[in-house]
Amino acid sequence: MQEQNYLEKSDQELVELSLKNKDSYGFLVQKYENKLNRYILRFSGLRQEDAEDVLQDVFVKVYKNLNDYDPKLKFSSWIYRITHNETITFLRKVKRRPTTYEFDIDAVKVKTLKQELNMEKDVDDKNTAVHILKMINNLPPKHKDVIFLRYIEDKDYKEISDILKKPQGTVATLLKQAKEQLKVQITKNNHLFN
Amino acid sequence: MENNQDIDIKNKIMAEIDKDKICPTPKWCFACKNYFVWTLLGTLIILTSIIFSILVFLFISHDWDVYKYVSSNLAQHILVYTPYFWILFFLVFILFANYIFTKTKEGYKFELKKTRLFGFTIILVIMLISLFLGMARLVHETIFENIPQYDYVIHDKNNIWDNHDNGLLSGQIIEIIDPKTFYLEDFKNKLWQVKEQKDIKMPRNFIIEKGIKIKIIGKEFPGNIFIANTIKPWKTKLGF
Repeated sequence: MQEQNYLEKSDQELVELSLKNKDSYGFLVQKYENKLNRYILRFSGLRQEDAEDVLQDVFVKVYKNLNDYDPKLKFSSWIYRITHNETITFLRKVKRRPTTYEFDIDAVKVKTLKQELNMEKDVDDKNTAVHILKMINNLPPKHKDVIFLRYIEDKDYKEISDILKKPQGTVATLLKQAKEQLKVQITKNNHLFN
Repeated sequence: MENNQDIDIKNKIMAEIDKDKICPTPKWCFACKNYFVWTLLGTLIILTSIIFSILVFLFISHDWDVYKYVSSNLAQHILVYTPYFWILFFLVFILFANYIFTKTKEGYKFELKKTRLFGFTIILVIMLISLFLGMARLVHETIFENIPQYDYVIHDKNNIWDNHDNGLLSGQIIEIIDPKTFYLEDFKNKLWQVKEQKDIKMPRNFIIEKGIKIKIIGKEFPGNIFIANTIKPWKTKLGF
């Protein structure tokens, strides 16, 4: 019953409660652990054990910096920013480039991606998803970051701007460039989608 | 399976927080950091503006029309008299200010072009204030008087007009002997007897008086005598 009450609270309320009582922080962790774990795995291609290590660092860092959280920002953007940065730091530490882990994207996202990349409607969705993910992974990091957050994580421009700490205009430009690059890749590798 | 794993992560984190006695960093630490970053940025903007005003001061106060007396051509003159030292400082400060701006909490939200335009406008305004309040001159002259090495890296109008061999002399009038002759002490404290040529060129309404600083074009003769064909006030019309 008490857990139910906590889970109904907003992020801002949970932050305030966590500052008063550390046990409340557990509910914030519970609320985000799955989403962030999935994000780390998808974005970096790390093994589950490594992703968990990153996730632990993220939640400890978030807890230490709770007083630095600015309520003008969405809490999810703030925690995604820390997660994104911690993942990059981890990858640098192990001297690895992010590799996209193979995962299932839901049909709606694949449809959106196909529309955005002007792909034919009748190409196989599963096949398309696999190849597009590989292509996204081969993009330069700044392009990969925006396209990943926009189409895989469903973040809007404002959220991407807050996560990556880039102006919204820059996010729009990077997204446009990333899509152009993907379109070129798709045209070059058209045979993969038939 | 997935649920058990989730519970493990949450429990591990809470156990780590307990074990290492981790606490949220107090709010004042973040506030101090924030104030420090903004104060540093403000200081950098003011310093950049003052450096900019020194550059403009050196450019405006430079008597470009007499370059022929000290340099063989304009290109060589520009090469020798460009204040590289201040240009370097200006670039370093502006890049550092730009970097610090990106470190502010909300700096990323602003478009780079607009931010740079806004920053440059602020620098321009402070530069003009510093220039017209005499701050640029004060800083330049204070460094000039206190750091001997400064003379080696910055060649300003003092260097140009300290060229009696090439017909350029400057200093302060210390005694008027007659309407056409006076004594002048140059900026290296050397005494000169200056005699005005018949067709002397001087700005309109400019009166030779004891105590004023002037610059002279003319010719040097033995015995510290200087025959002047042009006399100008030390400062330009705008006061530089």
